[in-house]
Amino acid sequence: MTVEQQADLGQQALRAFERDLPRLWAERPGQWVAYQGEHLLDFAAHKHELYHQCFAQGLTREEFVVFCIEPLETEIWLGPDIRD
Amino acid sequence: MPLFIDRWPFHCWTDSTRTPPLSHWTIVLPVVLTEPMLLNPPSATTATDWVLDTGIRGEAFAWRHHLIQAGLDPDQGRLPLPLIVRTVAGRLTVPVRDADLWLVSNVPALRATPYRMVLHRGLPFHDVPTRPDPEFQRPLIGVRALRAAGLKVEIDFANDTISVWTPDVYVS
Repeated sequence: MTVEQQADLGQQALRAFERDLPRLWAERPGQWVAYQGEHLLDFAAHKHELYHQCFAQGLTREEFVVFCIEPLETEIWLGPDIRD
Repeated sequence: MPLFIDRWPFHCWTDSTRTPPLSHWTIVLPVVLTEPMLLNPPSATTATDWVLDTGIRGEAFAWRHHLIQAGLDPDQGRLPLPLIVRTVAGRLTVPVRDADLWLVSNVPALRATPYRMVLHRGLPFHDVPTRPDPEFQRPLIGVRALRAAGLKVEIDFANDTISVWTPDVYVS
């Protein structure tokens, strides 16, 4: 898999997760979910368990993305916010 | 809750370029950075000091060098959503790599079994080739990671130490 293909799969997975997040947050808050592109693969209570569930399906690490079912964070602050 | 870190001393360094020399203190925790899929605790021997930063709004933050130092390839295992980091000096978009942190105990009976602190959103890192300043640019742990791990923390400014208790039941 090329770097470009891997990045494309990751973006597909992110879009699918963003699409599904409201429903997943209502049904399985705090659990972990894995996507291969747009395809939802599996759930688990712990992140490391989900990795191994995906490996058991024959997938390599580059082929799937694991997300925690919680609100996405797109920015953080380092240090104090001193804006007026 | 079992005591996991017993009166770990603050990190102190003295800037001897100033006259008179000026001392600085930082609250640090011994941590091992690993891949996110470990089934068993890593060796505690590779622990490094991470700064406890209650001002950081995320879970953690590091520099590219810290990932390499821990044996992680910064260019692999990246999550598809980069993060915008805002500081008083401006904003920066940084990559996020999936990883976990493990807190290392200084209690002899617990030394060999570090406590996993799951990073729910991965580890954002400053992706620069330069080596970070060992005093001013240490990796950071934020409140969100400590809360997710369910830790109890006692900071003793009279004796310059920090103690940590872990939950009776693993929560992350």
